[in-house]
Amino acid sequence: MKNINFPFTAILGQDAMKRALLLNVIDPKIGGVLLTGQQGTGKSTAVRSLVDLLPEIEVTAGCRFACNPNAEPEKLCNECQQRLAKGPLARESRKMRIIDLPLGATEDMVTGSLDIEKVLKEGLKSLHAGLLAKANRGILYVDEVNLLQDHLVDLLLDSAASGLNVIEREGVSLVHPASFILVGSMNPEEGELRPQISDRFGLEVGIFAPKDPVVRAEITKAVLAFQADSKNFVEKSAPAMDELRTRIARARETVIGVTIPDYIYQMVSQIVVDLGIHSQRADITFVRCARANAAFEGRDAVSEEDLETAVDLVFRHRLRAFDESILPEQIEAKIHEIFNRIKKTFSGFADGSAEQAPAHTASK
Amino acid sequence: MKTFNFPFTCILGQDYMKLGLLLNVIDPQIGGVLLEGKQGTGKSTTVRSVADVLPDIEVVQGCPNNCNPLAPPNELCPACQARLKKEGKLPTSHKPVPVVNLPLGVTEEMISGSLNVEALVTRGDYEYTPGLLAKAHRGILYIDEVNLLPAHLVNLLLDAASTGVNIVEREGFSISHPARFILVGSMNLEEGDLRPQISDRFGLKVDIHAPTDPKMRAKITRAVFEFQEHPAKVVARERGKIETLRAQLQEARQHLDSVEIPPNLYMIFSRIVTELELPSQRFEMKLVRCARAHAALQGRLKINEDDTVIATYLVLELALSTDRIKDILENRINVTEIIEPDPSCTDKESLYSFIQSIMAKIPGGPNADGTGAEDPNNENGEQSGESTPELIIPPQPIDIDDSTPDLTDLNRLKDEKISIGDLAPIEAEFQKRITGVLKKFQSDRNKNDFSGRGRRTRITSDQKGHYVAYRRPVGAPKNIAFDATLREYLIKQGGRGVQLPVRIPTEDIRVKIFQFKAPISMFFILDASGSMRQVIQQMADVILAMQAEGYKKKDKFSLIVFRGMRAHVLIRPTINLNIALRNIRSIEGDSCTPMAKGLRKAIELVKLEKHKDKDRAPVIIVCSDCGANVSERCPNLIAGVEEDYKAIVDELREITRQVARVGSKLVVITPKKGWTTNAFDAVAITRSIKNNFAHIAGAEVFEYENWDPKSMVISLKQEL
Repeated sequence: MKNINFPFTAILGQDAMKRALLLNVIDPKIGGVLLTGQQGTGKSTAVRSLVDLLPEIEVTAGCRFACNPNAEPEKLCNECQQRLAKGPLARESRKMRIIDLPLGATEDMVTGSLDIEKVLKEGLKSLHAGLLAKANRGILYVDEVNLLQDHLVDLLLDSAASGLNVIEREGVSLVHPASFILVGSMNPEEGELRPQISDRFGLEVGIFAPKDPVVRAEITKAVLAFQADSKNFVEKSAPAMDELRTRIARARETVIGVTIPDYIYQMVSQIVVDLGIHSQRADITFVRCARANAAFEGRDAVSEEDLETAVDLVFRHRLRAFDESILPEQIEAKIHEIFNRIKKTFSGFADGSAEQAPAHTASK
Repeated sequence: MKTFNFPFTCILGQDYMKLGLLLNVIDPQIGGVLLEGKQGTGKSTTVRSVADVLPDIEVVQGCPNNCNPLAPPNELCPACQARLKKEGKLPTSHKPVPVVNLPLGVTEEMISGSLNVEALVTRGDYEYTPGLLAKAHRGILYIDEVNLLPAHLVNLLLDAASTGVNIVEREGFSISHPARFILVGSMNLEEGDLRPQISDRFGLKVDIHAPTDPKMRAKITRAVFEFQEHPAKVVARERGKIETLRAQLQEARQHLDSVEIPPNLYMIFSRIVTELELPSQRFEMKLVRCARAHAALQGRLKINEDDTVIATYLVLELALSTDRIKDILENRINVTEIIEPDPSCTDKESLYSFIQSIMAKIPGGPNADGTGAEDPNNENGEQSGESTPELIIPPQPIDIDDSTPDLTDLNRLKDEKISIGDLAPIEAEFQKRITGVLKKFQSDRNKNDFSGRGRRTRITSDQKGHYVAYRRPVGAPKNIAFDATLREYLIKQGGRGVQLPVRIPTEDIRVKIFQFKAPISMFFILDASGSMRQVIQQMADVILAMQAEGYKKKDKFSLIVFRGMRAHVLIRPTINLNIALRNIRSIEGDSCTPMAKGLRKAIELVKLEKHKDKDRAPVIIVCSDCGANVSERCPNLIAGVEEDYKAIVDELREITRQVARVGSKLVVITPKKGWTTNAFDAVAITRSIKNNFAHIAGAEVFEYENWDPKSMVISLKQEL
């Protein structure tokens, strides 16, 4: 039985959410995305429909962790290192995966646990792969991440940041690669995330149900059509999906080559400082996000439009964490006010009329 | 699997953090560093990267405990002692100073070590698997978010840190091994305070602030970005610098003992310490050690003013926990040149002004060797005479109360009365004030040596939370504690070795016990009768402050108001502050006090909540003057004669019993002098109601004379 997902391209509106998800696929180092919004705003639908857009990745055949056969030997899992010692790694190609983390997940399920049978039968220490192993080089989707126990969230973020899952339990210590895009969704009315944690999500998108009846009607129509005959519906949106898929694949290749003009770094930092955010992660994520966006748009250098897109994705949750007195409805306004002001100060640099960034000493 | 650390030499800024770490590496007896700062300021990155610049130490070859081959035999681990006895001498090798990370969610066994199951199964050997403490011996033990570490683990660590020995007593064996390590902790103060016992344990404290200069930040972003893209390349490029720094450290460690300490340095430090009214002798020790280590780091054999200033800053930051030192020193010191001399550093003049201002008060001054030294020596003699018994941990000298801006907020809070009806336009202001209350509360909590987290009930469960312990299964085993099961089996085998496959008898099976922090459900019952109206309005402050804190812990919160003839559930159990704010606006006063109704509603809610989530600890908080005057049985009759009141008292006694029966904690907040009726002995009535609460339901009754939301929040939190 194959599960048919609602086509990504058929999702109306919610551009920020769609963009945030795509940018993460293009550059997984952005650090994931946190989707916040009430029920029924299409969070889960969008994440699930992303499956059909994910690019193919090359993996080592038979590897539980989907190691990259082209990676340096020290980045492989222990099993692949042993395989490599015997000869070149067998390769195969498969789609990037999305793994769901259920709400009731236990630590064992997430990190993996000791394979008791193997130990008892053969005296070997061996790992029952957990969700983190399955999610390596894919996407880990945590619905209602705010209801997850704190230590599990910490564990997820630690792995996501380090790209490793370290299992040190029951007298056994094991390490395996676990780098994944963390996508969390939550309804803020059910409780917030600790600021320490929300800062570690690269991007955040606040999702609101569209208020325009026309749009809502369109959405209902589309969903009904999909539910009535999903196959037909998917076929209809196939060309758009194919186009988007190629665009993502291309962006993934070109993203490293996108140049980041000097002034962008400074502009970004100025925005972060003026917003009163301390975390260096904000600066870094911002630049990454803008770069991925440039790649997606087919540009070879980061431009101001990219910043414009990134500014909506990077700062909301961080501003909330660093400025407790700010009201939700002021956040957007503040971000834009500061962004526009700084854009003006830097306007000379963007169009090339000022070649040099202001008094920037080389980093050395 | 190998990963690259961000190179230490690429970390820009954060000089004090870097210095604090390096000085500890040079002289571990400084006692570790506590790094305090917000998220994303590079705390963890720096600690991880320091691993790469650490010098080598000489260790016993193959010893997992990193024993020092030159140490006296009684300071070796048991394995090395046995080896020394058998072989006469120990083979040595070199390895870098270890950096051990204590992950959040660590278990006791991971920290102190446990029986090696693998060795037992495969070879039948009783072997001890060293824990993180053994690995950290002679190295750095890094605890990220040290303020969030459970209390029992903290005690374990502190025991080891203070004695330098880790003692493991487990089924089947008992072992002790040396465990001396540099404790490095990081925390974000907003997430909860550190118990003073722990913070005292750290030698130095560094407050970390994110750079606010956009140019600096841009540089950092660029550096991190480059590293993330090409880690191997960046690491290779920095290798030379790292090696130089490592050599510098190695040399500093060797030269440490030969650094000359000028005799009047002790006096200067004592002077500084007494100026600042710090009672503990410990500070002087740390100051001297820091100054000496800093001199050694710079390759000097004599301590100079630079060293003194830096030591002062690093050491006293912890002692003061205020901005006092910073006010004087901030932005006057640029320590970049220690790692990389920076010719642009020109404000050396102002750099010395602080230390000179202190030295000016010392007759003789620092460089006037001998001249005029008698006088201060005498003084010093007296002081040290006085301060010898003061090695006892000093009471935290927190003087912030009158200076911090938070407090101005708080004072305003006390003066202005907030009318609940006016809440709508001042919601924003309100939230700010709550933050103020909380901040104040944090510092108070520090004073009272009270930790809100510690007292929160931990609930054990057989499926949810952390694996903390194991037990015999009741019924069919669910989550088998594999390690414990096997251990049990093997111990019974008596080390006879094992036949594979292993067949474990049922009686040896153990199951896991998990533990998690129980969230609380708070049921506020507010008396909105005329007599309580003013207080009720301010009670909103308290509720919101409690709620703001509870928010992060996923505490639920509900509000019941009784007035007139009925009780209303204003807020059903929720965890959302916004909903709460919306509803609190609708409270109005009325004349009657149907207390029984209010309690009854609360009991209903408690029962309902129990169905939804049995792990929640319910707490009913009653805020009333206990002048109940409407009986449940006759809701339309206001009590007038003494008999009526007596009936109400009886009725309340019965309800109080029910509160006790549903397993809810009860807290009563009540004015000392409240409700007055001339007709009869009203005081006796309220007294008996309160007594019933206290005796039957074990309630905590807070009586206040003047309403003070601050103290209320504090006492409430202590209760939870």
